[in-house]
Amino acid sequence: MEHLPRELVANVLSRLPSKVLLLCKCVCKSWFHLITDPHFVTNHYAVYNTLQTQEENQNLLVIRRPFFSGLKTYISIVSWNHKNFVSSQVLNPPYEYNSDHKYWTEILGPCNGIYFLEGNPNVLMNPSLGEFKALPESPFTSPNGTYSFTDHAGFGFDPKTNDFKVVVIRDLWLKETDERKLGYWTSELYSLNSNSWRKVDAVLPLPIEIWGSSRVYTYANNCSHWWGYVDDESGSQDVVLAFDMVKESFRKIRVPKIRDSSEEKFATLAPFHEEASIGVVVYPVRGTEKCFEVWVMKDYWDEGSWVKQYSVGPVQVIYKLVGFYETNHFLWKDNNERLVLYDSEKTRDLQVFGKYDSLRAARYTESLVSLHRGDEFSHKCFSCSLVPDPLLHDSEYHVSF
Amino acid sequence: MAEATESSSSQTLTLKRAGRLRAERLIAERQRLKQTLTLKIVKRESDESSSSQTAEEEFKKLNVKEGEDSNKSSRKDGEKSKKLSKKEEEEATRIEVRTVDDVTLVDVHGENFSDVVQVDSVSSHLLGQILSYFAEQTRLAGEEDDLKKYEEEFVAALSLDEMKEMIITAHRLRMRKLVLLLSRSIANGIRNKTVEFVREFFGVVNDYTPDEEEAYRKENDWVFENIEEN
Repeated sequence: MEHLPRELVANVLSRLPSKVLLLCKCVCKSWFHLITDPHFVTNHYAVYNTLQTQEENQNLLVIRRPFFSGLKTYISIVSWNHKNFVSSQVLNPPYEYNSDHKYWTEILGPCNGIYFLEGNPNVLMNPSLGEFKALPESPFTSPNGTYSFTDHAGFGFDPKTNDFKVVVIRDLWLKETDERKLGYWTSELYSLNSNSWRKVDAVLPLPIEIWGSSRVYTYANNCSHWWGYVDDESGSQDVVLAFDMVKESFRKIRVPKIRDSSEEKFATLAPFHEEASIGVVVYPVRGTEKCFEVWVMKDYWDEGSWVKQYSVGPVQVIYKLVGFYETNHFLWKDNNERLVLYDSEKTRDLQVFGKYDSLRAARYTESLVSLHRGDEFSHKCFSCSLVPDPLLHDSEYHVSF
Repeated sequence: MAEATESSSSQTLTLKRAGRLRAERLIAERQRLKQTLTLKIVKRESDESSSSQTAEEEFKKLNVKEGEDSNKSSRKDGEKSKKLSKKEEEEATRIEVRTVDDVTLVDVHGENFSDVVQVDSVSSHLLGQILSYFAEQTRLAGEEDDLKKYEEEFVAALSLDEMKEMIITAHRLRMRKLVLLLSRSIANGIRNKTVEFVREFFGVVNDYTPDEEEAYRKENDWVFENIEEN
């Protein structure tokens, strides 16, 4: 009986989930080297996740606070396929992080299968390898006479240094007068390779303000993006702030008048990978049946290339955008803070919900990219496990109006 | 080691085991030029049950006609081919079967002359199934749902070991779609299996020391849970 040549072995292995490949590393040393080879890792990420899409297996990483009291955030993987049966597994973080005082508010990712969870503490994780790493706290304090009120994070990968980075921008307020030192920001960067923070030298293109933390991870061309505005005589002008992870520099991207007023319409940044660019989803704040518009920058490097790609609706269930993937898969929360997927005119209730606007969702991908770096002691990654979700199909939610 | 033999209609080059790599390159080259390729299926010494007679019957069952007037046309690598007009038929690849000296020759015709490539180490039964797949691909070309359904049924009828044998042959015949289908199916088949099972299936020798293996299993214990015991 002949045995498979290496090429065919690689073909088969790249169609297996990460957990099984971890088992396969134990088969023999040559398999260990094959599975940890960077080319195999990159190839596996593309092949395995594309296969899931082709076979219509959908998987989402979801965070939510399902209870009225307590901050405890559930991280889960919600899955369904063409058979329409939704299942969910909760990610059990290591003991130290499984408490009411630890919480997460945004998901940034996937970036090569790695996710950054913004919260307390900030976490980098690869759920498919069971890796969970809390970032050390930033040692930097605000400059003298100032304090910081809000911060916004960006997450990405620097291919030049093979490093995952997290950038945080903080606003500055004057202690004496409690005035916002208008437009003033400080920023710092975390590098996984060094497991430490450093100040970012580059300055933000002032004046600029940020509307809020990104609900949808918008990462394109090695840049993180935030939706912001600039105040001038005619009012607030929407603008995009971009941070280049490789050059470690900021840049402002002008946006045409996409909405009449920020009080009438929400605008959420979203990535458009097919165009290698970014876009904005605009939808009304009020109403029960809403239409939403999708604007895209056709050429990422040309500020004048924004176009309204299309309008959708009216759709009943949309309240706020909490996730977006694959060009036309919109993840909304409805009036009852339940997660709903809207794609090509179909809506699907995913049976998970969160309170207080805590619900966020992102595409879940399997990846062999590890967070371990060199010295194991200083880069301790905890392992986390998946257990069935006890809260799925739970009918506890309040009706709000 | 290559020896040339002449056949009645065209020049054929028989490449023995040592020339297999060259043969594979030759297939790709001929494919590109849309030229004829003849597959010579050699009976394995050890396998007494399969005979070239049976193989010929298998192929005949597929309605693959002998001779020049074959209306059946299909591309060798399993890719979709268009419905052909009379004109295009000349340019299309055709399959012909004939038996010469105890050996079944399956000719896949293109334009000009032919080459014979040895495809041994596969039972005629499986090769017949490969050609079935091949024929169905052509027949159902363009009808995605039917194709998908056929593929599901096709792999459901195969055992893991059969898939393993088939993928090796499909790989040699450069049948990309079939290789991908079988890769996926074999992956699904070994998904919940033990390390020992995987080792045996792929014919891999364990070169870890017992201590090394123990250490790895301990560190990654969650990976080894919920595994089928066979």
